[in-house]
Amino acid sequence: MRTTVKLKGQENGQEYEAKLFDEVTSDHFLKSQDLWRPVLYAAAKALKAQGKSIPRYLHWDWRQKASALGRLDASFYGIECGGRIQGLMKTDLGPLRRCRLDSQKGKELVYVDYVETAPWNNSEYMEVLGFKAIYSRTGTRLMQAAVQLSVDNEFKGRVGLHSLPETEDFYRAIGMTPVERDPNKQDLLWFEFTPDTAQSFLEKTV
Amino acid sequence: MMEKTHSQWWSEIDALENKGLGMFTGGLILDLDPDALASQTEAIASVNSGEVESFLESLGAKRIAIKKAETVEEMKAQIVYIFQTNAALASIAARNFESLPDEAVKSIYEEILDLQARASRRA
Repeated sequence: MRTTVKLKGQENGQEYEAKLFDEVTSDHFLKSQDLWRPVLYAAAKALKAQGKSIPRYLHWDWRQKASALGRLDASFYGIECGGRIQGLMKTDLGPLRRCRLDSQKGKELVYVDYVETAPWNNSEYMEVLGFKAIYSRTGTRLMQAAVQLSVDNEFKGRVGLHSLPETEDFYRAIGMTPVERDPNKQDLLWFEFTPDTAQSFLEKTV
Repeated sequence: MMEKTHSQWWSEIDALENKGLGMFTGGLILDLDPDALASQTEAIASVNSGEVESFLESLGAKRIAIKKAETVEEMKAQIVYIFQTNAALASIAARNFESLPDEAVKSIYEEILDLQARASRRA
């Protein structure tokens, strides 16, 4: 699958055509991490020097988990623009993933395991390095793809995920419903799109 | 409460997406390591910041802070950049010139005359 989506230039506000695709492999993923990590570390170092906090996931070394990543092929999405990967998402449609919201309880959904955007698209990282961030909307376009995947699988747009603390406001703002803290996932907040909220999100992101 | 306009909605989403600091969901890392979020290592892997800056420039990222030039070539490049960006600022100022208070107009005019005089003396 390859489709065109639009990203927004952070410097000039212009729209840029990007490719959303699903042929991403774990090798592809690790190569992207090799490009992203030095920028992340340089930004983290600069943030820390200014006394600012850095995200807890930053020390995560995907290379050490390469063998476990082997099973990820076939469910990875990527967005490419300007010849570079701008963001990645992994989804899971496995039978163990079910809705938790009372009105949807037990129904099938698309579980979003992982969403990450390239560090050069994050203004806090880029500004501390003395640059303007490049694109916005990568994460939003990936979430749009997750909802579309749910629709295509006849799950009616139902999507669920465990949000990191830094992104809870983002998921609320795109219309997902916070359901409960999950003690099995270090108390991360579980969010869901229902068929109605998913439809509303899709209409807004057109 | 008033319904947000489409552009207001996007502005909010764009700002919050930036606040997300790159990674958005924790499911995968906790599947691979249940304790991944429990601790924060203080050590950050060392990187060559010059290489990172060159890489970002190769992506087309625009500088917002001028790094002090060390060679004449770098100085020339920065002078060109400053002229370009100041020309853009001057253009914005010119478009809004009519709305400036009279005292500000007089002050700016005197400064321009002074700059021109000094430039012609140097020439």
